[in-house]
Amino acid sequence: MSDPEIESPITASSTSQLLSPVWMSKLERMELVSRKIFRGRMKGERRSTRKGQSVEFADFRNYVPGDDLRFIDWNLFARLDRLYLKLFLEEEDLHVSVIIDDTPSMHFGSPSKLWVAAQIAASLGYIGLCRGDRVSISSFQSTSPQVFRGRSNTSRMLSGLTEIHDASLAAKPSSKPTSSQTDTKLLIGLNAAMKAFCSRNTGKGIIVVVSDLMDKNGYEAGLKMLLAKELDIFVIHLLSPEEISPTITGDLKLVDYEDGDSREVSISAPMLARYQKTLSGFITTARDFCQRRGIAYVSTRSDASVETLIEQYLRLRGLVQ
Amino acid sequence: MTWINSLTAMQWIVLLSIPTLIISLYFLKLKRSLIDVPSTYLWRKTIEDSHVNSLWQRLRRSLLLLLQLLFVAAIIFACLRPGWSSSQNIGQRSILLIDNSASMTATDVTPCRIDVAKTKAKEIVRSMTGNDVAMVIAFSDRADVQQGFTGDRNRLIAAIDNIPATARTTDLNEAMRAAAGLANPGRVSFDGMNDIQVAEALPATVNLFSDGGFLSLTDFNLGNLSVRYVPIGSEKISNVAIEAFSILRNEERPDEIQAYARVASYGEKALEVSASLYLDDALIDAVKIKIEPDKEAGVTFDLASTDTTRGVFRLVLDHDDQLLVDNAAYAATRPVKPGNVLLVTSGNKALEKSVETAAVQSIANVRIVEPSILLDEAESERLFQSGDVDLVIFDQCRPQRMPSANTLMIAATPPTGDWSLGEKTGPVNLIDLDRTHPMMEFLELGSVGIIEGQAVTPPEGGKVLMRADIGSVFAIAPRGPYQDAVLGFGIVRQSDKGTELNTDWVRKRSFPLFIYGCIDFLSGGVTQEAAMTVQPGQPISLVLPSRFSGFNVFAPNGIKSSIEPTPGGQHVFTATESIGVYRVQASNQASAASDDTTSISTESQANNKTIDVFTSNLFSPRESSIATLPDLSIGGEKVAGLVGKSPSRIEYWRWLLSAGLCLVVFEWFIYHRRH
Repeated sequence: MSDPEIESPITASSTSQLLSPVWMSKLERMELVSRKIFRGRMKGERRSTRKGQSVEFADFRNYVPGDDLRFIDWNLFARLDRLYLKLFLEEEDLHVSVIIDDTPSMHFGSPSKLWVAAQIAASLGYIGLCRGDRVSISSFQSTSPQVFRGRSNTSRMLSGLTEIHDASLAAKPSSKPTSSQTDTKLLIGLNAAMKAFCSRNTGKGIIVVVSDLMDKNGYEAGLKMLLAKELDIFVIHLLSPEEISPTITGDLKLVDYEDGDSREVSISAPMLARYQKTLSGFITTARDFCQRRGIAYVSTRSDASVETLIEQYLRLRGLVQ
Repeated sequence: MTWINSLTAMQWIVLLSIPTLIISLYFLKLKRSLIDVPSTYLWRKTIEDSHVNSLWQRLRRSLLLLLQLLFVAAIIFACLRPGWSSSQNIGQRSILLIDNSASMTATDVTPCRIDVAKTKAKEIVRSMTGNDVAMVIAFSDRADVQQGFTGDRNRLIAAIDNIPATARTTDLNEAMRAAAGLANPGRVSFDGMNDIQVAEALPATVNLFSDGGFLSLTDFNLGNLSVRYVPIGSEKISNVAIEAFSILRNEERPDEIQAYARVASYGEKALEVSASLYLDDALIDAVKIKIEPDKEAGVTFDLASTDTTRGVFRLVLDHDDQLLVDNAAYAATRPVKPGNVLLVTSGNKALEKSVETAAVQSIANVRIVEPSILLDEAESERLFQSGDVDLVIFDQCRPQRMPSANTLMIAATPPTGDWSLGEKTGPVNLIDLDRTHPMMEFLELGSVGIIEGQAVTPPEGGKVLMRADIGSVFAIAPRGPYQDAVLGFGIVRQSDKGTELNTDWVRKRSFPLFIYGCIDFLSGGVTQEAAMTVQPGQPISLVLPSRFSGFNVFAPNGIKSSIEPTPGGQHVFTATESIGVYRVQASNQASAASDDTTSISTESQANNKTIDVFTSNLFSPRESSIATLPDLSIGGEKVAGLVGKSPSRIEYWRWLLSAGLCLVVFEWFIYHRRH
């Protein structure tokens, strides 16, 4: 086997924009909704559980020395001759984190799963930016997330996503990784990526994981770590048509695009039927795992429309309204 | 259904390895197509579920593999040549008579005649068509059916290849009778009926591969046999042969031995060859012999000094001719065998002195015992029945039971009852002697006086050797393998004056000569100097001592044959195939390993040593005359030899089959490489 003989299934990444203007105008009318109310770091457009400064009255409390005199209700002092302090509801921002699986397996599909994942991240991120939320974009392989706030950072966010996409394509692994390659450039899997995210992110909010979940070490441990952070978790399970309905047949040697692992297999109709059964079991297992733990799970294809995903499926799951 | 094997073992191995090879190629796929997939995660699980590598999982989907295996199976099935018994006529019957006598080892054709004969016979086998059957008979002075009638060419060819070259002479008669067994079935006749044939005659063609070196069969009826004579060899030959070789004691000088040889030349040129005489592989003499074409020449070697003239003589003609087997001849002197003699006498000084002479000592070991030993039953049994004694001399006494040895009884008869002694009378006057008997040679008894004696009457089969006026006084008669001699008068007699001489014979020269003759003859001493010789394959009669439990005969080629002892000591040995010297040795040690203090035998020293020798030599002018006869005469019919090449059929189907199989394997190879 030699490298030139391996036909890469990856087509050149689309140079079209991640978000079309029409789609952006639709996104501007949407809002990311958390099923939980979180405390933000900065003032935003979200009502907070904390009391703070807003126009919406919340309650009164007795004055204690040191309170800001500006919030004393002088009318009430005049009537009752006692000092009461007016409390208002606090408005805070929402933390939205989108983590894209940029392992080489995401290069498959047309458009590639990675590109579709970037489109999903761009769409969700744009909604968040329009609503003043704190949007964090990261990938499995990236060392630090890119955080954006405000609509003016839309172009930065999109270019960040494009960088993630291009960097992943550029780092296409050899079909037969040498020992030095495996030593020096280990691919970070889902579990490791989630662990890294949890260690650097102390806040709460919405986290959206876009991945094909085809990690040989499993995905359960990583998602459990997110659960421990009490985050509102959304898993978008993205699969390519090649994975869902393989068209290969005959006596083949299948080479894993990520780690070079090879399997000799004689593919026939019964074998494909068994594969479908295995795939169905894989998806069902992932869905059950998420549903049992309150994780919103959406399974989609890379050749399906992102608009449909956002408008219908995520709206149905309550992420977008 | 019947099967006929049409391939050799090696060809079968190659053929049966092809299905294995095809299946191996299927599993060891030369190249699999490489396909990149996002992850083998799901495929791995799928493979684990289905055990995709299991044998049947893989085989069941390959229709091509199945077809190819069926193709190979059909070829294997075809090679077994399946068939059913039917009423279809059997084709031609051939009988291959292949001469493997000594003359067929001649090298006037390359490599030698027997190989050429085998090659031509195999050509006939290969040219056999579907229903033809053949039989293979090898013949020399006997006929060996190597393979009965069969259509299996491999078996026929194997039988032909297994025919050995021999040094035997040739006799076509037996081979033709074996060949005619089915073609000319015997006829039987019953009372009052005409004779009828016992079986259906099956005509056959005899293919005779020979050089014609045998006697013409004049009284043989070919009947339903037709003979094709394939002469092997050439008519122009050059061969020198030893036709006789023997050693004899010089009658004028007994201490000398002479070796005689007769050498014949068969060819068109006068030759001068040197003949070398070896004694136990040491060259002792050599002479040049001039021989005219088709003539003989004699040569004599005078060998002095008896010390150096015992052993194996080998005469070799230093001439490289077309038949080597007759260029060497063997002769041997028989080993010295001192006899063991037991003299049972009570102080007969004359008799004791007569066995102490140097002449007697040279041919026998004599031990003297008192007659009282006869009273000790156990001791006498041990002495007489052990088989260690060759001759027992009973002087006026007799045992309870006759010993397992020859006996000389003086004034006594064996206790067996078949001998009878007359009344004692005297004087006795000797009248006649049978000097032709070895015991009586050179005796002159005209002046011998005998005071008293008895007439001796031997049993049936006995022979009177000495007659007197009272009748026969000395006779000899066989007793199983032994011989008993009875003298009717004693050497001494008991009188009023005590022991006195009964005869004045003891004072004459003839007495020790008589005793010497008796011991020489009855103790089995060497009576014949030269060893016997036979032609290869011919039986030889051996007289061996019966006291051994068995014998081994060592042939010149090192092969050991065992001989069981017989009561009469007579043995017929037939394994004389090889030319050279055969040595007979006793195989047991037990009988001679008895207590030395009481054993009179010194044979224990000779135990496991050579007891007898004999030689096998070709000595056949008919074999040595190797000129091939162009025509034969069998049963009065002239059979012309076939000249030129015999028609044969060369088959290519095996090669075509091999090519087909190679194509299958090649196609399989290409198929996998394409994928």
